[in-house]
Amino acid sequence: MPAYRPTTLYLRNVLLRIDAIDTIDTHALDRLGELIGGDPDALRELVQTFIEEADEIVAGLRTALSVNDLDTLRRGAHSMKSSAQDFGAGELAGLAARLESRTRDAWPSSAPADVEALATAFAAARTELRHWLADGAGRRADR
Amino acid sequence: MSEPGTPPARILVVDDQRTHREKLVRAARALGHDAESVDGGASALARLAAEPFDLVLLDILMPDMDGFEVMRFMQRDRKLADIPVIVVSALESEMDSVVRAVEMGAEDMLPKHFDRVLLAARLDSALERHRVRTREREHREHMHRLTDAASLMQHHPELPPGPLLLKTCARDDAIGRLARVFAHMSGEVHAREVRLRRQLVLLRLAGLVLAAGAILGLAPPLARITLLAQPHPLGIALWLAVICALLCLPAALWRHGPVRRQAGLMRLVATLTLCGALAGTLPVLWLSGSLPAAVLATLFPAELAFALALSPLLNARWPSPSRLLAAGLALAAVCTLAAGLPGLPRWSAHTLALALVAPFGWALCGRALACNAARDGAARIDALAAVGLSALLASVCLAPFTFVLGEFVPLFGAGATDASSSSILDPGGSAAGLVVVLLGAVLSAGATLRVLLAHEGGAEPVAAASLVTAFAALGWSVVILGENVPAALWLPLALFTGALLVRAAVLHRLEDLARAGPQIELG
Repeated sequence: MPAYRPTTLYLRNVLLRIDAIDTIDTHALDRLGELIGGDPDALRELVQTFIEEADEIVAGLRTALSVNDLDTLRRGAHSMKSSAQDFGAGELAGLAARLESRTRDAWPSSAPADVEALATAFAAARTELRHWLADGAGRRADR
Repeated sequence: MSEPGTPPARILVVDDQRTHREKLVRAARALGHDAESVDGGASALARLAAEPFDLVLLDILMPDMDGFEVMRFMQRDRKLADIPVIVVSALESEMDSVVRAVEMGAEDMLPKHFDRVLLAARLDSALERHRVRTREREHREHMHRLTDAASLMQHHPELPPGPLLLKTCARDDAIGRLARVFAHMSGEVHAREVRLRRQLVLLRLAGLVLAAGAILGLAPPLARITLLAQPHPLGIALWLAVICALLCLPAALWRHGPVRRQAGLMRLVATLTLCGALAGTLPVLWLSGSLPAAVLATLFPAELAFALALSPLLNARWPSPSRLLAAGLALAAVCTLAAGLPGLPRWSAHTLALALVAPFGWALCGRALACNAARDGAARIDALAAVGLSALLASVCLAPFTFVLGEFVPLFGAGATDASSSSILDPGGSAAGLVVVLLGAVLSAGATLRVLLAHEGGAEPVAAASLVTAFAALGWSVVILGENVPAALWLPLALFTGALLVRAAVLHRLEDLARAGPQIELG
């Protein structure tokens, strides 16, 4: 991370918060932290795990789209839905739930658009989560 | 930390999604439990088979092997069927799956999105229900054990119920106390029963030893009468073998039906023929003509010395000290007899050797019979039939020699009479024949009793009967033949008796030690 001056850092954080106001619900992260015992390091590790796994899921969704694999599409949407909810990514969870319900019976015509929307929402959530990781005042910076 | 009153449990998390897995494991650990995770059904089953777990948090939708399949496998395995399973599922989209999982025996369900309170409640309630079920099952099992032990005591008081109750007695609750009281009482009943049964067995053995001794004790005086009347040992031996075969074979047929061809039958028959009917009878008959019956009979207990020596020799094992001492005493008795104490005849070496052949043969017979008695029911040979067959075989062997050597004597009618006979009976005519028949009957009855003794107590009681035989023979010799018993005879007899007592006392103590089963302390 570049070495910001304190004022710049503050402004950057404020701007990031405004930008991500609907992407991540930090209360959800607080609840998750409490659930796993209140250890901030553990929570950070968990967030990191989510980012990595969700990255794989989005990649999997794109591949499924290219080979018309309905099963992987549905399973990916299902996994993304439940995880996203835990990490406060409400929009992402909603898009994943919509994709899951649309892929329940047959290949939906909206699949490419849905996957792209989901990928975009995840990208936003990922950015926000990375900022959240980087933003720990007095905490260890993210690798 | 786990809630107060709920002991920590070992929990296995099964989920293909890494994020969920880690969340569940960390959340369970935060509640004080010991949790670990696997990423699929197959690895879950492997982990469950390898180590004990108290609870499984199971995702339903997994690639390869789903949660339903894992549950089916667990239900089929007796060790895993009892472990409570909580299915983890997204409620809104998987309601059907949850219902199906609960129908398959899942303990509860947990939504994928849960909080700390909900997780604690679900885990605690599932674990508590499982604990209650386990306690109830254990309770039932211990009650079953108690009732089993009670019915065992009722139907088989000779079997100790203690071992059945060891685990139940170790419990620190009401059932444990009940079990300890019951085990103590039943232990006393069992000990009393064992004592009674042992006394019965000992009484029966003692009765058989006395009967065999008393009956066989008739043999030396009867043999002396016969041999003084008819100095043809081969001829007499032939008749005795024929009579024995005629008595034992029908008796065996009546008791057990026709003789079955069995492995080892011919070997047993050959041993009994060679060692019993031939080596055990002929020397006695030969010496009966020249030796007083009382003196001859005193050598019979040498069988005890041979029996004590045979087992370690044949098993190539160093004898135990008690066996060594007893055999030494018996040997000393034989030596005092051989030494020719005042009042006893001077033995020539070959006479003494001949006199010792008979007890040696009997010891071998006793061992063969005891080995047969020790076999399993189906493999055991009908010993009475074997005795009859051996008598038959002996008569077939003896017949040619008897006729060729001109030793044959007719049983009844005008037999050869010996004018110099000093028998108290009329030596001629049918009286001598009757004595031979009586002697044959005595030997058959003695052999039958020895078979019974071997079945009940093994080789050593059979040998012990020979001591009683010697005492009985002394008595019969005095009563029937009016012989004087030389005072010097009492020394070897006392030594033989000492040998028997040493052996019996040690056996008795060993038996006591072996029977002392597991002791249960009353709490």
